[in-house]
Amino acid sequence: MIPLSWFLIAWLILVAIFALLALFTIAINTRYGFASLGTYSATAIFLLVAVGVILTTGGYLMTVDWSQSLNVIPSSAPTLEL
Amino acid sequence: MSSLLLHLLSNSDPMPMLDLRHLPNEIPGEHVVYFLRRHVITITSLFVSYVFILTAPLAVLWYLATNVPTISDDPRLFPLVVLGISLFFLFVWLFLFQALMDYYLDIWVVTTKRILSIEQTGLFNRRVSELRLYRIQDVTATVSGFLHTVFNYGNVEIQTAGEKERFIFEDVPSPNEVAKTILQLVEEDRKEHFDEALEEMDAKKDSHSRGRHTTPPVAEE
Repeated sequence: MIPLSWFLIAWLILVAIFALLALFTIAINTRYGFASLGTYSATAIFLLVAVGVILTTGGYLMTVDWSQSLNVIPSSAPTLEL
Repeated sequence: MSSLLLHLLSNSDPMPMLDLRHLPNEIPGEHVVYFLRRHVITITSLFVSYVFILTAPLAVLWYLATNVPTISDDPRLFPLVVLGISLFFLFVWLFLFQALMDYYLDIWVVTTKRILSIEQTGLFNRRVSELRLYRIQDVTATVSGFLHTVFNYGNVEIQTAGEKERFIFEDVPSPNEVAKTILQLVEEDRKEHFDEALEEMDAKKDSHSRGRHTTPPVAEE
């Protein structure tokens, strides 16, 4: 039995890694990019979509009961009876 | 980590965000003639493949909805599907943005005085080169391949005197026109730097003749 919350923690860690990589990417794009509306709008679209996905997923995850556990070995598995 | 981010976000770098009105180390009387990037067609295939990959989670959801309709009611499995799909989408979205950035940050600027080449490879690899026009000796345009010919894009190779390394504009639109314009600009700039170019040529001749004198004579049999 694996607690469902473990998956949530793994998701949070991976989202944190995503956020860090995104921060580096945006920092480099806005620092070394060509000063134009294109640079700012591309960065804004990237941020809006990423934040939108995280917030939508987060909104759904708030409704989930994380105290449950996941049974990786199905209970219907054949058992050896003597 | 935080100091690296602070450095990236600070404005202490000698070459901050590129602005065509204020080029780095601007020369008086300089005007931008060409601002070049690789042809859009070079990134189109990558873009299309990323769009296909981004729609993959929707295909997975459709497959699950049709084949395992009870999964959306499962309080333990469905959250895991949502976690997996959201992570997949986020990272593919990030890689797509990085690929676009890689295309967007490779720039070649031709001005009336010099050529600027700015190439970004990955997140932390950036190369900025500058070449004065009067030092250019040879400009070659190459259009090779079916797509290159149809969409008229290719490489422009610029060779300077005595330099081993070449300046290469990769997959730029209308390479023949760019090469022709650069040659015209070189001629005009060379007229302005005639004395400087003569001195350079004399220095080269001297070094060549000195090189000949210093070579040991071939022993006679």
